Amino acid sequence: MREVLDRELNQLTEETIRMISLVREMVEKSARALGAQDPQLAQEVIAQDAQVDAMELDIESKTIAIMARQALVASDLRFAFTIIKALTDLERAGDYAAHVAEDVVILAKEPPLKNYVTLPDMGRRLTHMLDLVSKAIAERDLEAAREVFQRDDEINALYEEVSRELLTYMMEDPRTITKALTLGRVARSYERLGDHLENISERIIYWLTGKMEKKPEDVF
Amino acid sequence: MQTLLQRAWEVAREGVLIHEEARVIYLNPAAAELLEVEPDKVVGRSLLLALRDHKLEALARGGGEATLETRNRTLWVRAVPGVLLLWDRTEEKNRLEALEESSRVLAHEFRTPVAGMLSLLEALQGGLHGAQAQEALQMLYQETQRLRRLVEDLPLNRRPSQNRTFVLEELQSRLERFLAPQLAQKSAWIRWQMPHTVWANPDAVYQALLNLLDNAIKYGTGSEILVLSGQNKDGVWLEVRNQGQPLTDFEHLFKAGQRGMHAANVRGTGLGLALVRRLAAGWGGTAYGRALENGNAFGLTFPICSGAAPQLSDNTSRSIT
Repeated sequence: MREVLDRELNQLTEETIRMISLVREMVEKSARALGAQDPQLAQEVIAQDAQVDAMELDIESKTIAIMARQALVASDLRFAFTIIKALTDLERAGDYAAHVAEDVVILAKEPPLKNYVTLPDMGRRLTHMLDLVSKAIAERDLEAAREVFQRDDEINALYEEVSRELLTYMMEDPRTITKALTLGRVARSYERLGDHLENISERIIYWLTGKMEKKPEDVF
Repeated sequence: MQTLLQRAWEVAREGVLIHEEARVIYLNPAAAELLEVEPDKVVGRSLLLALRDHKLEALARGGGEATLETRNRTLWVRAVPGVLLLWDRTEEKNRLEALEESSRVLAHEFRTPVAGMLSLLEALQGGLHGAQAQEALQMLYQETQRLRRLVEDLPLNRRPSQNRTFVLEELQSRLERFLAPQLAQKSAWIRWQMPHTVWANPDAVYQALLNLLDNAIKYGTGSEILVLSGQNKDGVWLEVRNQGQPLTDFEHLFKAGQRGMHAANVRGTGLGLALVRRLAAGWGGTAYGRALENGNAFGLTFPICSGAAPQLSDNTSRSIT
């Protein structure tokens, strides 16, 4: 009986890892498309979003089926809830990667405001955060989950930096406003994407320890 | 034999992962490092949990070769039934990117002079005669020679120094005539006041000035561009001043790939000022930018050299902060 349950939970883990990997690919491509101003690559990202949406529904229904069939308790139950919650955050993360790609399509139509360095860097850091989330789930690695918190602080700091820089551009030359607003939207998408990965990490920590850990600034 | 082979894999630089029925049987330390996994946590478990990458998993199952980006690395992967071989190609990729950057720099260095040469050739084709034709041919010859020296200097600047003492005014006529079509297009002109003598490579100073003047013509809003030299206790300075909205952050413009806020609608690579700074470093000087009341100044400095002390020939001395 336990063997069947373990097999089903392992399958659930594998499918979640596959979904994280797909979102990671989308984020990585979005950053590359932004840096290279490549609308074709951006279109690939937009197309992949439907795959992520389909995966969410599929894994969710499988998880619910296991929960109903196996009457889960303790850490197994926490794991199932972690997956259910993580699916929503992953789906949103995929949406944000697609939003960035949509903005790249718009930005690529005109000469760049500047050479984009910080924004693709945000994207690359997010792919590393997704690697950590994946490792935390696959290897039940608490430290990897906690490291995501720290990495999200870096994303937030970069977001602030980009926002300030864009504000300077807009204040000094109103002709840059449209482009700067689009770039601001890209930065915001990456910042929100980081928050969703942090949510997943909180859930992983809850699964592994039975306690909910939040960053100090998130506790009111 | 089997033990020897396993021992060899334990110390190999390439990663190897062996799998059976989609489960990991063995992975060597190099593979564990490249995949950022702990062997005891993945051996015996499913392949996907070790690889944590859907494309890598598909390759392992289906076989073949591919270059993949994973764990912030560039991996070249070969998959044969039951075996996945991994090579770290991150450094190679970085070297290729550096090479591409060099190509962009080279293209930038050639673009402006070639455009000028094309204008001269068009003028000759259009029927330039007599002394004017001779002058155009002479300029084309000089420019070709300069570009040849530029190419010869490319291999990491290991050639002996081309520095010599010369009066900055030497460069004036060549630059002015060379930029004449661009100036005419913008109804702009250059006022020259650079009587100082410096110790530097004249080709490098010409190239730096060409870049600075090219920027001033493209981004300046007024008609007059002033090229002014002066001297202080540290040596000679040379500035290209143009009218326009004063900028605030000059340092970031000197980084490769950075462009000014007013450059959004003008074609460019954002490399020009980074190259100017590199050229200035070549003669031991610096390149800088500063805001004026109604414009901007981009300048070069030339240190006092024991080989040839700069001569004082005007009263425009000032300090550069």
